Amino acid sequence: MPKPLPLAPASPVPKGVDCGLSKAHGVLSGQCDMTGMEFLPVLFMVAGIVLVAVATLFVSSLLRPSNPYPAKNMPYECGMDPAGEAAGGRFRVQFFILAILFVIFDVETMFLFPWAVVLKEIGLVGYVEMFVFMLLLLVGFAYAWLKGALEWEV
Amino acid sequence: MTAEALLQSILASLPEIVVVAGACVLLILGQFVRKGQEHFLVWASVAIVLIAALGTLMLLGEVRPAYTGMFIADGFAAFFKVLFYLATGLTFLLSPKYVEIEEIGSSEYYVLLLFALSGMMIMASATDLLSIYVGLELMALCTYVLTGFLRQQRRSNEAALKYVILGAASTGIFLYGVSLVYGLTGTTQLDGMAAAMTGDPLDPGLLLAVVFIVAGLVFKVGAVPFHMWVPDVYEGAPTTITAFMSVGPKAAGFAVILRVFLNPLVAASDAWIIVAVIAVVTMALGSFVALVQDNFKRLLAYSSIAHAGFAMFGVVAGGADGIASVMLYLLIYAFMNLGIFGTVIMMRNGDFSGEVIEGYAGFAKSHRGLALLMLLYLFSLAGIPPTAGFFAKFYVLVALVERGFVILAVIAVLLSAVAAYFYIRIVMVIYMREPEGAFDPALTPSVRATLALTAAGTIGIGLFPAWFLGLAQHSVFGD
Amino acid sequence: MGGVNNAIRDSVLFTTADNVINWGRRSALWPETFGIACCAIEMISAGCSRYDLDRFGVVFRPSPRQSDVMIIAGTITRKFAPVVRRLYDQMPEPRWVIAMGTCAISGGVYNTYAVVQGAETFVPVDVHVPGCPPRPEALMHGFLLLQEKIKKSRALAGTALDRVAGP
Repeated sequence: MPKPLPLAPASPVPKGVDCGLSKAHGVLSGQCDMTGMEFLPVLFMVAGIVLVAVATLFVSSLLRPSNPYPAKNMPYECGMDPAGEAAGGRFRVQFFILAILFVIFDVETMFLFPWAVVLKEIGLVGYVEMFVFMLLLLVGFAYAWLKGALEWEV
Repeated sequence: MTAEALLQSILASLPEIVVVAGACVLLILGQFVRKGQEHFLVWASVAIVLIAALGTLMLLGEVRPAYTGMFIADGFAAFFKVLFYLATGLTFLLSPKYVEIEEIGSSEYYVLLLFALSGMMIMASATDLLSIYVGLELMALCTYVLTGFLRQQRRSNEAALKYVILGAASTGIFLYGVSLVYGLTGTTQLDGMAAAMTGDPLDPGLLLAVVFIVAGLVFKVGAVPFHMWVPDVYEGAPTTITAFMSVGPKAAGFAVILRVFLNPLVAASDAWIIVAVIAVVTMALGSFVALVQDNFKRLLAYSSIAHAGFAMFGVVAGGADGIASVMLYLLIYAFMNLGIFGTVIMMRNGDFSGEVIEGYAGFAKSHRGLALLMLLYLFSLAGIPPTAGFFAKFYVLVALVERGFVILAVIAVLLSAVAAYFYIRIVMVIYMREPEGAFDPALTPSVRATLALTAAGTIGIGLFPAWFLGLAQHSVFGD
Repeated sequence: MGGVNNAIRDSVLFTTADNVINWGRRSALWPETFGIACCAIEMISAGCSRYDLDRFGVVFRPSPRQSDVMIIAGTITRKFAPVVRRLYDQMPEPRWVIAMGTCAISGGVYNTYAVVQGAETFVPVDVHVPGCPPRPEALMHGFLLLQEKIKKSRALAGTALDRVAGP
């Protein structure tokens, strides 16, 4: 049987990276060398990118014709007048409600994943704690159901 | 966490659990309440608040840290929780007739108030920046929705939208400060942050982080330069919610600020200069702009800003006296503010909106008792003895002078004198003008009870101020 | 005659810019696929492999928002004319129009109450390609004429730089 891989790295962690951790343990080590100056290349890169983008757009704005008028700005619908729900400015609220409910239950699922991984260590207490959490969200779900938020037609 | 640590934590946070569980049950039950039985919701909510208050009082006596250092149930938290129970309970008592007139008496109104209460309780008990954030957001989100509850009125929708956008921006700033603190110190515990602040030399990044955190909190309190939302939101929200907002979230914001400054190491640093400047400008702005208001709710909003500024003076003073004086100030402020808002709510009946100050002209001629109550609250807000408001300001000034900030005390007194003008002006309108029409205040028994309680508080604390100050000091420092 | 006025505009900077920009524009003329009637078949075969138009940089685009030139290929009825005009409007500048086939040029054989007698009555046309239908080589010749026209035009007309340079 091959030896299982160790979880911690065998070699010591280099000093420069250790900076935040040693501060966390309350020891302000004097060997900390991640100063602000080391991030100067990042600043140059960001400045360069912004400069290139702004310069390109600016030169383009000087060289291009600009002639907006109402018929040109209308939404393209194969030459016809725009028709339908979206064109009339109407928005179906059910989409929004469903999106919000999705986000909430998706975050709940997201919390379930790490809980499932460490369930063995946290034992019965952790099991009950997670069920309390899910119960609270279940109350919200029951409320949404009773209020008719899950109805699709109006 | 082991099972017994968990049980200890549950015991320490039992009041919060009661409020949250009660609110959840009420949320579901409220869907089955029939049209005529809305009173059930009010009494259920008041019952929940009373049970939670009982829980808090029974837990007094020992300091209980909970949830591995993120939560604490000590005397300081208990004092503020009693304040919150008072604010929420009295808001519930003021609500029934008002929500019936405005037709906003759905179960969500009561449930949101209960959740806001739980958020404030978490804020008062939090010892970790992230718990503070959780409580802050819980309270804030509920108040956003409650502000916009008058759905048919454009004013209410506008107020809610303004509150949401500005509140989200300030929470973002707060979180940025929290993340900077974590990046610089490796911990989000308040103790850890305080320990890092006393490092020598002071890390400018850490000072910036604390400035961001304070900025986010100062928004909730309504201090300059984050006061812009207060007048519009207070005017647009339903008056019961305005009453709640002017007392509860403000006290919760101060609770967190005090806990950060409670640590003597932080108080000794130079951060007090920023707070002093904020306090002076806040009070000046509140006092001067309120002079020209003609809408009662807007005037009370600016007066609320001025009072927040005065309370900030107490934070500047720092030390045992300063902090106790701020806590007493907030308690007295709760009573007198709920009282004056109670009278505004009471005046809302039929077509009379109770918001225009000129509409109160000659009120004293027909309703002597109620006019006398209004006089009491307005005098207390102005700081005239022997009402409690005078002693609130008095103790803050004593704390300032004892710590050597005499100039600040003089500025505070001068601005108080300016502020007294608009309170006395309302008294003059009530007493010395001729009435324009008949008044028909909506005096239900619960409104009567609220007014009686707040009047008793305003006079009672005014007669025995030293006892209440001792209570505040005892709760902070365990005597 | 504007000898002094055009000093800036005829300077080497502007003429070189004109040359470069015009070369770019004429070498990548993207038409809007707008076949109305029988001329569309000849347009399609011009775009296919035997009479390949792609070697001139001509790539057919489905949307007017992404095209430079509109090939009006076919008979324009009175009912359809507003649609053609709307599509012309929704093209961004610089834009050109090729009227392909006699129906698009002048109504062709159909001098009736229902046919618009020529696209020129409601859109400005740059190149006429006669024929009924014109052979694919004729359409290619039309494109080459359009390229000549673009080569001779001023690219910076109507732009911000042109306004700065003076009237």
